[in-house]
Amino acid sequence: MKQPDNYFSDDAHVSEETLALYVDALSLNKIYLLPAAVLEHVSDCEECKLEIVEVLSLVEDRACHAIDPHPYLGKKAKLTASRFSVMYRIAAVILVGISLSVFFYLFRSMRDDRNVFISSSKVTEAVHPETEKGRAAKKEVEESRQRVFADNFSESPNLENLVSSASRSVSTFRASPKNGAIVNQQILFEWKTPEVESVTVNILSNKEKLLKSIRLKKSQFLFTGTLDPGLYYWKVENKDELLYVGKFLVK
Amino acid sequence: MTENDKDIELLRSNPQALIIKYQEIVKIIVKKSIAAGVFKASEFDDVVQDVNTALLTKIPAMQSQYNGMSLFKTYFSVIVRNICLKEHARNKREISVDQRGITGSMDHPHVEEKFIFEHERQRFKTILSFYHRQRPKLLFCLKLHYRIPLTPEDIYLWYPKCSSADQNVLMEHFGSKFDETDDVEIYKIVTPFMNKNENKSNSVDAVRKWTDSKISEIVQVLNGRPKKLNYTEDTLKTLVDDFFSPFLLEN
Repeated sequence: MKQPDNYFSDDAHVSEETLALYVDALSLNKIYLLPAAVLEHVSDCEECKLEIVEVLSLVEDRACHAIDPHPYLGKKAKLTASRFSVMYRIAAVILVGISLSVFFYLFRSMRDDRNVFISSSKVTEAVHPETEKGRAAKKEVEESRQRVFADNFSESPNLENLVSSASRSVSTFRASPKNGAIVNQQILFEWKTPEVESVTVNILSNKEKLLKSIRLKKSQFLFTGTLDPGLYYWKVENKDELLYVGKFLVK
Repeated sequence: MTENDKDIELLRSNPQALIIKYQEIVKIIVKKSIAAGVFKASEFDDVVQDVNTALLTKIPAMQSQYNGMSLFKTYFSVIVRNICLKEHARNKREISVDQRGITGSMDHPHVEEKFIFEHERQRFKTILSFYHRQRPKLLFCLKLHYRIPLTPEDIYLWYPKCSSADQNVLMEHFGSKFDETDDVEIYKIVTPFMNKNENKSNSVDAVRKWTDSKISEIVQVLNGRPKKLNYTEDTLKTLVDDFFSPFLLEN
C-alpha cells in the first residue's frame, strides 16, 4: 500500500478514498487512528460531515467486523502500540542520560570553587526570569506542559461509546466508582452481579493503554498503584463477554 | 491473501470482474437512492445500467487513485454513490422526499418508532464524534444551551486546569436547574472561563455564535442532503437529553 500524497481532493475536501477510510474507521470504532489532518478538517467542515454520514448510512447494514485486519487501521494500531513502547524506552534513556550528566556536573563543580562561580553565573543568566530568553523558554515549557496535561483528559472515542452503552445497564450491574467520578489514589472498584464469578478487571489510560489487569473471583478490587492526573477507563469482563465499562478522573 | 487484497488484485488485473463481483452493492445503493427520492422506483434497472456504464469508464481513475488505504468495498460504495448523485444531477429529477421528522406525527407502530429512535441516537453520537478536539467544549455548550445542569466532571473534561474557585462559580450558576437564565446571561458568565481555558479573548457574542453554529451544523447533518428529516434546534433537544440522560440518572 503506498501512502497518499494528500488526503484531500482539489476542492480542499476529503478525497473519495479518505471519505471511505473515515467510514471504515467509524464502523470499526477506530477514528482515533485517522490522520490528524483529516480529523481536524472534518471537525470544521459541514460538507464533509454530510458526506460521511451519507456514505455511512449506505454501508452500515454491511458488517465491517472484518476477520482480516484493516489495511490501514489494523496496521496503524500495531504501529501506534509499538511506537509508544519505543518512545517510552527512548524517553527513559534520555532521562537517565540527563540524570547522569547533572550528577557529574555537580560533582565536578563541588571540587573546583572557581568553576562553580563561573558556571553558576552562566546558568543563572540562562534561567534567570528577568532575561527575555529565559522568559521565552519558560513560557514555551509551560505551554507544552499545559498541552500534555490537557491531552491526558481527552476522551477515547472508542471507549466512550462502550461507556455510553454500558451506562444503560448500570442499574443491573451497579458498579462503583460512578462514571466520571473524581477519585484519589487507592481506588476501590466494586460491582454487584447476580452471582459471584471469575472476572478480569482492566484499567486503561485515555489512550487505551492497558495499565493494570487482574483476574479475580470477587466483586471488588482495591487499586493501590499511582496514576497521573487524567481520564481513565476500567473494564470488567468474564470469559465470554464484556460486562461493564466505566470511567473516572484522577486530579 | 485477505479479501481486500483479492479486490486490489482484481482491480489491477480484471476490473470488469470486480464490478460484477460487487453488483449487489450497486443494487443496494441504487435502492437506497430510490428510497431517498433521488430516482423513481420504476427507473431501478435503468439506473443500475447507467451506474455500471459509468463504472466502466471510471476504471482507469479508480486504478490510479485507489491506494489501498480504505477497504475497497467502502471505496467502491463511495464511487457508486457519487455516480448516483451525478446521474441525478444530469437528469435533473424532482426530489420527492418523505419529510417526516421523528418528533412529528408518525404512523409507525410503537416498535418501529423505538427502532428509528435508536438509529437516530447512534447517528447523533456519530456526528458528535466528528468534533474531535472540540468535542468536550461542544458537549459543555450543548448542556448550557439546553439547560441541562452541569457536573464537576463536565467542567473538568472541558477545562482540566480549572481552579476549584472557578469550578465553584460555574457550579453555583449551572450545577442545578437554570431554566430561567437567558442565553445572554449564560454566556456572560461562561465566556471569561472559556477565554481563560483557551487563552483567547473572544467576546460573549462570539462564544454564543460558536454554539449556535455548531447546533445548526448538527441539525443540517442530521437532516441529510438531500433533506430527508426535519430536525430543528428544538427537536434536537430530544437527542441531547437522551445522550446525557445516563449520567443524569446516576447523579
